[in-house]
Amino acid sequence: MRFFRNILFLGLLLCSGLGLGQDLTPKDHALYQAKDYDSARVVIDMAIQTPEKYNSQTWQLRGLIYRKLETTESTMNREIAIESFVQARKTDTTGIYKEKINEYLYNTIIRYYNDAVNQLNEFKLSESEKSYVLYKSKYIELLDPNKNFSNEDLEYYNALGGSYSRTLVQLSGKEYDIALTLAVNCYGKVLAIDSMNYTANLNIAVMYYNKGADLILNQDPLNTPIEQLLENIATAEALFLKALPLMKKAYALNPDNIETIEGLSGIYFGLNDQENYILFQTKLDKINLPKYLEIYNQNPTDRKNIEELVRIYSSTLKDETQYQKFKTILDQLGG
Amino acid sequence: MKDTRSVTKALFLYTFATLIDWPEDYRKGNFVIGVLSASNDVYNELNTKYKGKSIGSQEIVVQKFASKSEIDKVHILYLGQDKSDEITSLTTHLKTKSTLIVTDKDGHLSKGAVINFVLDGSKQSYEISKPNAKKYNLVIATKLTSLAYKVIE
Repeated sequence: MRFFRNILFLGLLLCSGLGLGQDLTPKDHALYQAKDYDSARVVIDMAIQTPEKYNSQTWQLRGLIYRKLETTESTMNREIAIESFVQARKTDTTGIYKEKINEYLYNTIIRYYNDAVNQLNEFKLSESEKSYVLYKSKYIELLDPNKNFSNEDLEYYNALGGSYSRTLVQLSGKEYDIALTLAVNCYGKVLAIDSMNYTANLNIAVMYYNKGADLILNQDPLNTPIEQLLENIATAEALFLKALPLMKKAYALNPDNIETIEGLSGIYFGLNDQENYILFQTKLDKINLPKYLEIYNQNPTDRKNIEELVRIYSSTLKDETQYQKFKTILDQLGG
Repeated sequence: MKDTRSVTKALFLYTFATLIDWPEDYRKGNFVIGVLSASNDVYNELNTKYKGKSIGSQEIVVQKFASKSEIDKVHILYLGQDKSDEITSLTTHLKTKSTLIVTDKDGHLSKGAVINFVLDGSKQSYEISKPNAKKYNLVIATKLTSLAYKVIE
C-alpha cells in the first residue's frame, strides 16, 4: 500500500515539475516538518541524485528523515542516517554545520548504547554486548578517536557480568559453564581497567566459590565412584583457590560488607582452613547474632534458627549458658 | 554457607561401605552407619541421602549415638572431631566387633581407627590402617587403599 502511495506521490512530483531543476531539499523539509517521513524519504533520495548532493543540508535532512524511519526490528535506517550525517560533514566544506552535524551524529550513535541498555534489561545479553561494541566503534570512528571509555566499560561490563551471573541459578552442565565463562570475561574486562574494582572481584570470587561448592553438593550420593569423588574434590579445591585472592581483595576494599565476610568464611571452610574459617565465621556470627535472637523471639520454634544459635554459642561465640539453653530447647523440639 | 564438608564425608562413608567386606555375620539384617558426634552435620547428611538405601541386600540405617555405651552392632562408626577423645575407650568397647571405625583427627590410626579422615593440602582425603582392619575382620578393596592418602601396612 505504502509502495503505491509513494509511486503516486512521485508521479505528482514529476507532473508538477518539482524534479526539473527546482530545489527538492526545501520542499522535502516541509514534508519532514509535516511528519510525512515516507514521502520525505522518496524526495530526499531523489535530491541526492541531483546537484543538491553537494549541499550539506540535503544530507543532514536525509539523516534526520532516516532516523525518524528507524524501526525496532532493524537498524538499517539508522545506518543510512549515520552515513548521511557523515556525508553532510564532508560536504560542509566551510565547517559551519560541524557542531550541529556532530550533535546529530552523537544523538544517533547513542542509540546503540540505548539499545545495549534495553537489551540488557530484556536479558538479550549477547545482542546487548554487540550493540555496546558497535556504539563504541562508531563513536571512535565518527566522533572522537581518543574517547576514553573506561568509565562506561566499568559500568557496562559490571552490569553485563551481573546479568550473566544471575542466569547461572537456572542453568546446568555446558550452559552453566558457558554463562560462567561469559560472566567471568565481563568482570575480567572490568578488572583489566581497574584491578581494585569491588564488584568484579566479589562477583568472580562468588561464582568460582559457588561452582566449586555446587560441584560437591550436587554429586550423585549413590553413584559417584571414589575416583570421581576425589576428582571433584580436587576441582572444587582449585576453584576455591581461584576465588580466594579475589574475595580477599574485595574484603580489603570493603571489610564491613557482610558478603565479603560470608564469602571468605565459605571459601576457607571449603578449603578446610579451620583457623581462618573460624576467624571469619566469628565476624559473621557477631553480625548475625542479634538477627537470630530476634527471630527466636518472634518464632521460638524455628528449628533451623535455634540450630544456628546452638552452633554459634558452641563454636564461634562460645557461651556455655546460652548453649545449654538453646540446646535444651532444640532437644525439646525433637525431630 | 554451603556445607561441603559433611557432604564429602558422608559420601566417603557410603563409598567405604561399598568397598569393604564385612564378615558373614554382618551381611544379614540392616547395614548400620553410626555417628558419635555432638554435631548433627554428618548425621543429617547421611540420614537425608542414605537412609533406606542399600549396601548389597542390606538396607542402610543411620543412627546417632550420644555415648559409646549405646553402640552395639554397627558396620561403620564415624567418630566426630568433637568426640575424638573417646577413641581409646571406643576401640576397647568395640574390640570384639567388626566395626569400621572412621575418625577425623590426626594420629588416630595409631589409636585404633581403621580409616582416618586427613587433609591432603586443603583437600579432604583419608588414610587406612590395614593392621587395624584385620583386627576387626574387615577386608578392604585394593581400589580404596590405592587411592588413600596414606596406608599403614
